[in-house]
This record gives sequence, C-alpha cells and structure tokens, in this order.
Amino acid sequence: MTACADIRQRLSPYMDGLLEGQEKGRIAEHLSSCAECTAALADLKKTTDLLRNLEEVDPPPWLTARIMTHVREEAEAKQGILRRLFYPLRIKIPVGAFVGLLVVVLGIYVYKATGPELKSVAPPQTLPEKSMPMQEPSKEAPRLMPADRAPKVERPLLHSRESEKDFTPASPTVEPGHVIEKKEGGGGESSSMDEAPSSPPAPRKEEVPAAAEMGDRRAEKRFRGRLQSGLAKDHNAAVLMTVAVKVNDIAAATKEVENLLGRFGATHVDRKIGSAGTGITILLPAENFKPFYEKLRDIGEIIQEGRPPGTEEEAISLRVEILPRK
Amino acid sequence: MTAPSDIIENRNNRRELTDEHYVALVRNGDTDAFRKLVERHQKKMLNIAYRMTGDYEEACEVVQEAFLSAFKAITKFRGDAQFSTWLTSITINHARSRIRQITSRFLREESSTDDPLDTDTGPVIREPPSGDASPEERLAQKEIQQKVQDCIGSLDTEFREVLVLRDIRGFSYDEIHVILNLPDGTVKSRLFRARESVKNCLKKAFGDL
Repeated sequence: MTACADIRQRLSPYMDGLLEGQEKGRIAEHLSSCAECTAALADLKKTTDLLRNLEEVDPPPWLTARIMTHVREEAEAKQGILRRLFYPLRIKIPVGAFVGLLVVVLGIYVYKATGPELKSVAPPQTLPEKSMPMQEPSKEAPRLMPADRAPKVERPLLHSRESEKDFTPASPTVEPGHVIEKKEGGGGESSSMDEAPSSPPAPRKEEVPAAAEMGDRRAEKRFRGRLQSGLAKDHNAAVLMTVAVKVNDIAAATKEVENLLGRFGATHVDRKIGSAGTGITILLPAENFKPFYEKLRDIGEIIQEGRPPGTEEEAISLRVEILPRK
Repeated sequence: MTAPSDIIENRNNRRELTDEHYVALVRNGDTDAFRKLVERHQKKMLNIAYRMTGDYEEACEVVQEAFLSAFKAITKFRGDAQFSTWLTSITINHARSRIRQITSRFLREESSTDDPLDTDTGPVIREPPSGDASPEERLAQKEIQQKVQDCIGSLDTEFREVLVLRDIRGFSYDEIHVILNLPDGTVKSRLFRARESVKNCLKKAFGDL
C-alpha cells in the first residue's frame, strides 16, 4: 500500500507526461501489476476529460462595447491628467506671453493717455510765478509771442455797435516789435516792469477787478501772463492793434479818449465800461493813427500790442483799453 | 518591442498583427487597437472567470474589470510573457477578488448553490451541444456539467485556479507557474490535490466515473 500511495501521488504528473526516465518506468511497471492504481489512473483521466470537455460559454454581445466604453473613459481621464501635467509647457507659456504683451500694450496706452496731462500738471517753470506773487518785479523784457500768432484783421468791421457791457481788458497779442511806453509824470508811480492789458475769457473776468484792488504788481503779472499765453485772443480776433493806456483816473481818461475819437474821425464799434477799466473798439482812418497815438501817449502810459497800420490800408481796427495804473 | 514605424506600416493590415503589435499600438495612444485584443481574448477570459466564479454575470464583471486593468497597466507590460498569459493573470486576480465578494455575500444571504445559472442579463449562452444528442442526453450532459462545475466550486481558490488553468484551459505547467507566480513544485502538488478532490467529488455525485 505504501508503494501504491506513492505511485498515486505521482499519477497526475505521470498522466501529463512530466515524468521521464527511471521514475516513469517505475510507475509504468507498477501500473502493469496493480489493478487499483490502474483504476485510479483511469478515474483521474475521466476526471480531467470531464473538466476538459466542459462547454464553453460565449461572451454576451454587449461585452466588447462595454469594455471599450470603460477603456475610452479611462483614456480620456488619462489624457486629462496628461493635459494637466503638460499644460504649463504647451499652453501656459503662450498664454503667459500673451498676457505679458497685453500688460505692456495697456501700459503704453495708459502712459500715452495720461502722459500729456502729467506734463501739463507739473511744469516746474510755470508754477513759481503763481506761488510767489510778492516777488520783486523782474527787469527782464517780457517774452514775446511770435508774430504768426498775432491775430490779424481778416475783414473790415462794417457795423458800428456801442454797448455798456462790463469791460474786461482785451488780450492783445504782442508782436516781436511791440512798443511799451510810459508817460513821464503821468501820475502814480513809475514802474520798470513791462505791462500789458490782458483780457481773460469771460469766466475769468472777475479776476481783473480783484487784481486791480490788490494794488500790487500781481495783476500786471497776470495780465502779462495771459497776454503771452494768448488766452483771450479770440476776444479781439478782428482787432488789428490794441493800445492799452494806463491812467490814474479812468473816467477822466475815458472822456479824453472819447474826445480824441471825434477829433480823428474814429467810429465806435464797441465800448465796454467796467470796474476794471474801459475798452473801446474803434475803426480809425489809417492816416490819423499816428497823431491819435501821440495824443494817447499824453493821456497815460501806453502799451501797444499788434501791428501798426500799413500804407496801403485805409482804416485800422483799433482797441483802446483804459486801465488803472495800479 | 515593436518599432513605431512597423506599427504604422501594419496599421492597415491589422488581421495579421500579433497581440504584441496591438499592445504597441495601444501604448502609442491607439485606443481602438485595444478592441482587437478584447475581441481576441474576451471569450477565453470569460470562461476562466466563469469556471472560477461559477456565475456567468459575475464572470462578465470580472472580464470587464480585467480588461480595464490591463488597459490601465499596459505600459507595464514588458513583453516577457505573452499578452494572453499576462491578461490571464489579471483575470485570475480579479476572479479571486470576486470570489471573496461572492463568498461573503453567500454567507450573508445564504443563497443556494443549486440556483440556476440564468442571470438578470439573460441566460448563459453556451456552445451548441456536440453531436446529435437527444434531449435526454442533453439534459444528462447539462447535469453532468453542472455537477462538475459544482465540484470545481467546492475547491479552495488556490486549487481551483490551478485546475481551471491546467485541465479546463490547457495552460502548461510553465505558463501556470508564470500566471500564478508559483514554484513548479507548488503548481504540481496543488494540481494533484485539486484533481483528487474533484475526482472524489464526482465519484460522490455519480457513484462511479
């Protein structure tokens, strides 16, 4: 029995042909003489035959599709992971470059949009004049406006108009050859400072009386500044020349000027009387300009702005501004 | 492994491609190439899973899980063994897990092993019976098949898998050694014990073989 038990344990590999040589011969010899072991081998073969002959099952028709559905979902998920992994390399760099470019373009745009304002807000050379109003008057000659900026008469003034509106000094532009004269002993203090009447635009006209009341040089400086900046050039755009007469008594000087107008054949075009002074726009025969001008010098200190009449002109449009000396 | 240029050349001639070619295609991003592997191996894997679990529906689930696992791990397939061997190993692993689940479920529900094989997804589709067997013979054959399956199911998993691989699916000892990652001696001894158990089981069922 011990031999049979040992043999039966080796029947399985013996049946599968795994044994060779002496062991295979020993089992074959034993089987030829042992009916029980031979029957055991037969049962083993029948068992494996039954196992081998088990019917196969077929996969359901949907199995391939279902497996591939899972596989595709997995592939997409894997691609999503890969996309996230490589996102910085493939997408993020171009996106970053685009954003950087956008920032630069926006920066340039903002600079261009705000740059001029910044420049105009902080010019270091224009602020001191306002910030130091009590500064001693400068003896330097005023800066002159170029001739091509001076307003010129483009058409004659054909209609005469007289009004009693508030006068605001005009803003005559100064040509390079402008003349600033002052009457010796014309009353009041003499000043070495260049003065020029100025006519700020309407919204600023209250500044003029305020300046006149200040009794110092600040008003004159402002007039000069406006004159140079040409703020009010539209006001006398049709006026060829402006003569500002600085006097102590505006009312008396106005009367004298009115008398002169009659004597020299001038026609009133417009007259404005205000607290800041009197402004008279006239149309004067050109040949009378010189004697009229000489007479104005007798009345007060004169600041002439604009172009003197030429020989070919018959009449000159002239603005006479009578302003307080202070 | 197969060179990409060879793969491209062989794309239009997939009928002649080996498993390894398809694996290479899949590894290069051709997901549809995996379908060929599924179509080629799903029946073998299903029968292994079915004989392991004894349940057609469970076997289908095992096969789905096994193929999905193979797809996920296809970059790890080094080609040392055949793809079918590698896939079988995966299927066996999923079948083991499924058997553990079935066993625990069985303990809870006390379901009978005599339940019919028909499932919710439809009856088990079997190969047509061979020969011109009469209905009585077919019925007898079905009963025999069921008894054999029951005897297989009575084995512990480690014996069952060796028996299924060797006597049902016909794998060699070497292949089983690779699939189960077991020493040759262990494979032989487990197979001997599995066969003896099934033989004794069948003798009990039929009286005589």
